[in-house]
Amino acid sequence: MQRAILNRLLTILPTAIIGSLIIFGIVHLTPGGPAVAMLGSEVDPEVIARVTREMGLDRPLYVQFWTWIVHLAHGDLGISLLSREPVHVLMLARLPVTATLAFEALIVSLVIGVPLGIYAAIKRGTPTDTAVKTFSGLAHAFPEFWIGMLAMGFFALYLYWLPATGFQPMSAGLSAHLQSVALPVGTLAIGPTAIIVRFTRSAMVEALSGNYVRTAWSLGLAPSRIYWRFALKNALIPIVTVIGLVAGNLIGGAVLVERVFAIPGLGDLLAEAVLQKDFPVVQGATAVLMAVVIVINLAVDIACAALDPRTRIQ
Amino acid sequence: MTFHHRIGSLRGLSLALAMGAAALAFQPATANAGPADNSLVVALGTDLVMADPANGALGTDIPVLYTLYDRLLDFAPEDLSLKPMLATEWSWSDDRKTLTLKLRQGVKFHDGTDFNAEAVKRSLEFFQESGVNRDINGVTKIEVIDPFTIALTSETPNSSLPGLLAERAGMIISPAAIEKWGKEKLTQNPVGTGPFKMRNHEVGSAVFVERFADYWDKDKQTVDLIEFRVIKNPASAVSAMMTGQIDYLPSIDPINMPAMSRNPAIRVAQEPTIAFGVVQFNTSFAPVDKAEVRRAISMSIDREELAAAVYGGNVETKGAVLPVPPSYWPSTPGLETLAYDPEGAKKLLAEAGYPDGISFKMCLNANAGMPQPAVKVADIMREQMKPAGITLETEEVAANSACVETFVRQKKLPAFLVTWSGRPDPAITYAQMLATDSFYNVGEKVFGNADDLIKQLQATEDRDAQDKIYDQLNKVFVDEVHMMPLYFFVNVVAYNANLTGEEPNLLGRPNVRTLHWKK
Repeated sequence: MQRAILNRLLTILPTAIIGSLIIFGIVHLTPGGPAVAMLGSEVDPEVIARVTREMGLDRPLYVQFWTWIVHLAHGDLGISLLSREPVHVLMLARLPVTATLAFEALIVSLVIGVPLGIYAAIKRGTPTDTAVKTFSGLAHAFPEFWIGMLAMGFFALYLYWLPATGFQPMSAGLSAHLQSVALPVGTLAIGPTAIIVRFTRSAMVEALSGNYVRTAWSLGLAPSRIYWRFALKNALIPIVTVIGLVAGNLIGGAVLVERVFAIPGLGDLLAEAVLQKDFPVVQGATAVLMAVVIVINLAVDIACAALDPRTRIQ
Repeated sequence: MTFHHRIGSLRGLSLALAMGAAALAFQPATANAGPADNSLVVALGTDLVMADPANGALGTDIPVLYTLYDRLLDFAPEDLSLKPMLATEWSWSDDRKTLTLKLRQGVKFHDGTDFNAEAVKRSLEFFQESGVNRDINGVTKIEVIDPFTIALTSETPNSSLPGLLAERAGMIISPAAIEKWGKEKLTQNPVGTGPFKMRNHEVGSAVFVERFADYWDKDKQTVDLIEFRVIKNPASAVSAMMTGQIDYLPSIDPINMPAMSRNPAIRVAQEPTIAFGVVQFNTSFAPVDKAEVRRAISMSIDREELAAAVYGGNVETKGAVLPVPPSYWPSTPGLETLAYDPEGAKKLLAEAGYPDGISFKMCLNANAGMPQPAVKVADIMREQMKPAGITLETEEVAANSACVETFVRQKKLPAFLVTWSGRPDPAITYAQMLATDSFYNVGEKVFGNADDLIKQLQATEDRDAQDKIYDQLNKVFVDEVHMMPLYFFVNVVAYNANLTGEEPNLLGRPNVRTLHWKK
């Protein structure tokens, strides 16, 4: 077990580097550069070229990437080409915001998704089950950006119940915080909820169709005992696994949600850096986010191992 | 406890949670502090990139820069005529090569340094050293005559110089700050003489500027704090305005006007500008290398219909073949311009040697929102051009910078749909559009005697003489159509109904220095 954990941790760095290489390549392939983002398009192209040289962006791509790797090995994520702030400072300022949103969205999606999935499995084949499946399918299909705008239009613009934009941290008070995150967290949670509902339902259906459950029914055990003690316990492992799957979903969703609700999070930082070709920020943010996803998946694997009594016997 | 009891208690718990959430929600969203603490929240579509005016060039930085820096000269918002600011008077030498400025006394920078001629000299030199903005590169000598008099000498007469001193070049930076922070760090530590000083910049999120206690013109000072809040998504900015989260939203899509106008807490205004949407052509690239072809393209576009479809009519299409609106003095009334005439366009193309019509590719920024949603505009133009036998193809890119790369630098495309922001001195616009060596003249075409005319323009400040020269330049413009204006922008903006004091300028640049709360 410990060996497996160590192996997984060791994969963080090469995965982050390979991922960064891919992103680096893609972002550099598109025309334009940070000099134009910084100076605008009405400036003499010679000036753009000079500033590009000053930024070291005229060096061969492999040289630029290798320099970045070397700095990364020393814990230096570089300096934002546009704001001149160290990348790690920018990210540290925004990480708590995105982490808060993602964590709260995950809680919401678990609190709603798991019970709904269990209920659908228990009521398998009935109109209730169909309704839940349809709802989760639609929720998964609708783009978050669109749902976010609709929610903003209804709850903020029409009802005036919630603020349209912005983020208030916990330190601003629980009520202020909850009001400010209600719409973004709700929007962000929709996709993961849909996924969790379906996974939970499938896992429960599979568990409920097991021989041991049939035996339990035939022995006349109470339904609650069968659902909770037998089926759900076995269904928990795939349910916990889906958290790892959903982590990537949450990070991707955070980019859009932060944009719509004008929240200064990591997703927004990354999106803006990509548009402005602020390469150090793009690479730094991507590497860190990849590492986060790997760590989350590792945590999920550990949790699954802990839940599965078969591993304890070994 | 049976399973059903558990479900029942779960249901009860869920209901309780829902009610709790609703209770929280029903408390009103935090009212935006405004008149209460004499602060203002202004929406910014793009974060501040460079707080150092010498080393930046983005138009989107200007609203913040205006609060931090006074300029040597100011311009009257309604007609862009020049007014004193940090310079109280100015005059030309007889050969019109030396501009002498008398400077205001009793002015301090935010860091306590005294404002004087030495400070102006250092700031101007710093501007030239940056190499980013070439505006005052023609000034070869900057001489301190006395502590409050300075003389700027150029190699050739340049009547645009005072106008340029009303722009970035004239934003005077503290010499102590230049010394201390240098080019690298000055943007994080800006120091000017403006009515506000930088409090802090939360990168990507907000810029806070606070009242400068030692400002020289206390009567003109307004609020105590301005928050420039970055809201990149335009629809989100509109929502924030509608719910009272922001007090001033410069430039909104006119489609929002009806809803906003119905809101009694908001005042919507339409502010005309001299900025315009334009298609730039590369005059060396077939088929748009022929003036007849460019004229035909211009004739194939129904600007009225385009304006109605995209802006609900909230742009000025009259006279949109010149780079200045008809109400602005360099314009030439009665100049025969090309009316919308698709049949005429078809004939013209045939005469130019294209009886079967033409096709050309236009670069545009697919992410462009207001003031010019490029994709929408191009889609409509494409349909309008079809009856004239013109096929419009588009190359859609993620940012203007990509089009600058392919159209301006690599010269790989024949056309570019872009916006042109006005200049305080119209001579600058004409020079940049018509001079042979201007990098906006992508095809490097010699437009008759335009180079001479521009030199003459820069050698005189006599309005009548300039008028005559503009008449000739405007004729070149109409004949050549190497730049095809579409419409002049009218800024549709929204203010909190309790705000007053705005002074909208023809340049369309948000200037929040004068905004204050009604008593």
